[in-house]
Amino acid sequence: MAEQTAARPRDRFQLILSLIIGGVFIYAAVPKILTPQAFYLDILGYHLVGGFLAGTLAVWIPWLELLAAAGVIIGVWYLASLRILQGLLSVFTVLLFLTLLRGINTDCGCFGSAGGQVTWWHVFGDLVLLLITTFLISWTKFAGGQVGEEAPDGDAHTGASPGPSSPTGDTG
Amino acid sequence: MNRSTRQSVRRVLTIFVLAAILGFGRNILFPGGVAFQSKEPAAGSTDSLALQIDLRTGYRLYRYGMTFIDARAVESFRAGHIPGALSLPAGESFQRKLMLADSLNPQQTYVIYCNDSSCPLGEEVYQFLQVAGFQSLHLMYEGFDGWKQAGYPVTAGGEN
Repeated sequence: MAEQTAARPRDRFQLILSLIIGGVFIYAAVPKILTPQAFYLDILGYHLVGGFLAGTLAVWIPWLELLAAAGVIIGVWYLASLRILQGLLSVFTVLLFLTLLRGINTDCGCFGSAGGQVTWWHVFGDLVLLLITTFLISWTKFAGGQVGEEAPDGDAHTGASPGPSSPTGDTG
Repeated sequence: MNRSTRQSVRRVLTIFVLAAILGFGRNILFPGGVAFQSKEPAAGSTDSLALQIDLRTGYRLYRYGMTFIDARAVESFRAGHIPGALSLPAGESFQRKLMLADSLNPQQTYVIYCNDSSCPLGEEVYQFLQVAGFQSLHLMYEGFDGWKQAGYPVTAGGEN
């Protein structure tokens, strides 16, 4: 009983943060999946890559965002999904930062056409999301076992204690 | 690398591959995707766009600084056109069109437009420019009427 009571507040907090992160990325991914040409142009606007590579990124990244976001929300391959989002956010943050330093005036492409031009607020927003993602990864790993170990098998959102086996087998 | 880490790496890679399959699958099976070419175009080029582009893409290209070609008659051009557009009327003689095209750069990307999607002049100018050696061309099928209706910038007067 004490274990269950102690688990619930942590579960809700983790779940809320997961829903926020997952929700943001789904909101970002869907417009880009619907209009990949527009996203392709946004990528070109950064003046870093062109042609085939830009096209590949335009068709691949939105689906990566969507699948990882779904994994975080549903709790399937939770850690793996979080790590992908963490990686994406790291790249986006650096990219936006460099774009602003280079003085390039371009659309963010963050949420399709709704993202607007790149500003320091985009960098700040990505940093916040990166912090949340990193926190969730650390929290999940710490909650599942000793500090520094991977979370054992179990539902990502219940923070269940380690057991011999889990029906989902999800350790991320 | 311990077992847990290996499993994590496998799952990340699986998601990568699944995203690639879904992304390229959507691109191939549904309209409005990115067009890939066998030869990689120059950086900053828009050659991976489909031949026919919609208004929104056209407007982004306009903001990106692409040059537009107006395939309508000169009178229509003077009455109103996309700012910065060049007039290359489909109805002109072949020689005259060649002369006008001489001022254009075949390596550059151009967006051709007419009045609307039912206007065949844009397609004619496209065919002509292809024959003349232009490789990077796009047709904004909703045309100038759609552009104006969308509230995008227009200007009048001049021939070019």
